Amino acid sequence: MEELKIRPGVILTEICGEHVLVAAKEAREVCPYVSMISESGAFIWRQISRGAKSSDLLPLVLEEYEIEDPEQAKTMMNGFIRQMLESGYLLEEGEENEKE
Amino acid sequence: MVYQTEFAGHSLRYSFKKPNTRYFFRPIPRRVEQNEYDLRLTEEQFSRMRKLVPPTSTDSYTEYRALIAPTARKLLHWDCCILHAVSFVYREKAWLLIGPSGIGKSTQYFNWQRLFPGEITMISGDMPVIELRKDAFWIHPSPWNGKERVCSRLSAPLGGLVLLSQEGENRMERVTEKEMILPVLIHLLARPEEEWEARAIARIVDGMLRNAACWKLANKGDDDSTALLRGRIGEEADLRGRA
Repeated sequence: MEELKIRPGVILTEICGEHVLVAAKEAREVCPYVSMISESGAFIWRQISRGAKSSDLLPLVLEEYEIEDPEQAKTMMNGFIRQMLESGYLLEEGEENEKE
Repeated sequence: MVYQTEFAGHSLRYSFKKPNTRYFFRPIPRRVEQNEYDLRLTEEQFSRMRKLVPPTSTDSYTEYRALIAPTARKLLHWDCCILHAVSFVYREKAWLLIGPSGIGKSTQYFNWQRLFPGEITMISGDMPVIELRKDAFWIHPSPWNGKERVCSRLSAPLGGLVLLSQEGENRMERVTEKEMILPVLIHLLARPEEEWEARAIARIVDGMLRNAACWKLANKGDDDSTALLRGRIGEEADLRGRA
């Protein structure tokens, strides 16, 4: 998997204990304005925002949620990342430059 | 020339492109003897709205409509914003009916007035100002009141929110705060351009939902649906009265 980064302008907020992504600045033109994400999605998001490498994400998820089945965690994590890439909230390293 | 008006007790100074724009506001903004202002439309904002309003609209009306979103963003400085909703006062609390245009928000208000005259008072027929305070959440009038232009100068603390949908039957049920997050966000008139604005919007919506009873009304827009709405809101008011 390519390295991931958060699209500039996408902000993770919390409303009534729920995790909500808001597209501001330049992200407004390319992403859905708002989306709710799960607790585990927010955890993955925070790791990416802290600069975690793609290869570090699965071990971090396994540790955080004490999941015994790595395949199950991987499926969940990949599903979230795919969804975030499709909606444009996340970018693969170099993707933004390619579009420019 | 600069004109000043109030939103939730906060002053905003406008430099209108068209002097007649001020006559769409209620109350009409007063002229102030200074050159500094808080808001003036850009050509781009004006042109964008020109494409959205009916072709026969005057420049002044176009400017009046185009000022909604920038005003909503400006209000974020005071933890206020503008929400697309019908808002009225019932038993000293403000209630908000939200949903897309044409869903029957105004119909519910006018039905209620006709069936139970004098029980409720409109705050804003289309776009109230909402305000997060330290200990409560308040609803205020704004200059944008929809095609019926029904409004008052009344403000009140928030009682609850009702999300409307049109269906073949009338049904009203409590919903969780979580279910209201996206509908409320979508109906806020401010779209953030800066990170602090996104965070302010999240803070306001959080405060709003924590202070509100949240309901969903599937309705046919008939008198029975309004009686149902009144009944549920009345029960809510009774509960709060006993608390």
